[in-house]
Amino acid sequence: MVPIDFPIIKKKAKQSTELDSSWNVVVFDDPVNLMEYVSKVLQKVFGYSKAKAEDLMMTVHGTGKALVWSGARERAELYVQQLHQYQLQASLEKAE
Amino acid sequence: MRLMPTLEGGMRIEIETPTDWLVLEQIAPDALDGGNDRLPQRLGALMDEQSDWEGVVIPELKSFFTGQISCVVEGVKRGQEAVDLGKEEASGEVFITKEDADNWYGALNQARLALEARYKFGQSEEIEDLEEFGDDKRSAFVRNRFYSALQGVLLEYVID
Repeated sequence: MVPIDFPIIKKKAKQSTELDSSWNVVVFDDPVNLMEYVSKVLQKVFGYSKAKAEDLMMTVHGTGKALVWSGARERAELYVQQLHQYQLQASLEKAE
Repeated sequence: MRLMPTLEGGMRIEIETPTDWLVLEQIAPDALDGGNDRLPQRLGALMDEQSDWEGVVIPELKSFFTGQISCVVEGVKRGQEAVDLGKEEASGEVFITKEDADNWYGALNQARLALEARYKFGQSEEIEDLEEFGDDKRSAFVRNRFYSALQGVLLEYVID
């Protein structure tokens, strides 16, 4: 049997305090993404109802940004990555 | 140029003039303006170092966005191969299947984001006078409006 060398994926170890604390996923307004599109993306990524997604989209449009999800950091990072795939400006903020 | 739904749930772009082809050909160059890594970098600009965005996510996004542009380039090329572009009336058609609709939408969005980053149009409904724009910016603005209109149709009739 030939031994298989699995690739070693180097990833920075996250401090437990960061993993334990809550993080916010924030979506920012921009002049390009269509309002209906933003609403559809929020439904697809988070499974929100159309009403909730439209409400959040209107907050983004009206105030410049909206907190769309809160929770564990790794899950929040995954959501931000998905939002970036849909070309929405999004980021993480540590919850206060 | 006319847009029509297909029985399979996609969309057919009916090309009526050579200019229509030029407009569709311009989507990819607009999206790639300044390099195709600019959009992933801009999207990830607010992420902290802890996220490994630079090393892990940005290369993936770059590859994903490149795939969207390739889909559009190939779609337009397929349409052009079916007609004789040397003829004065270069009519033809480009099909956007339901499966490809997300890629088309994404490529159009990339083009609009790149145009916005370059020309800073802002909210387009607030722009009333195009005369103050130079030729380049005015042309880019018109393309931006066309891309937006095409996105609107895809959202309304094709994308679930």
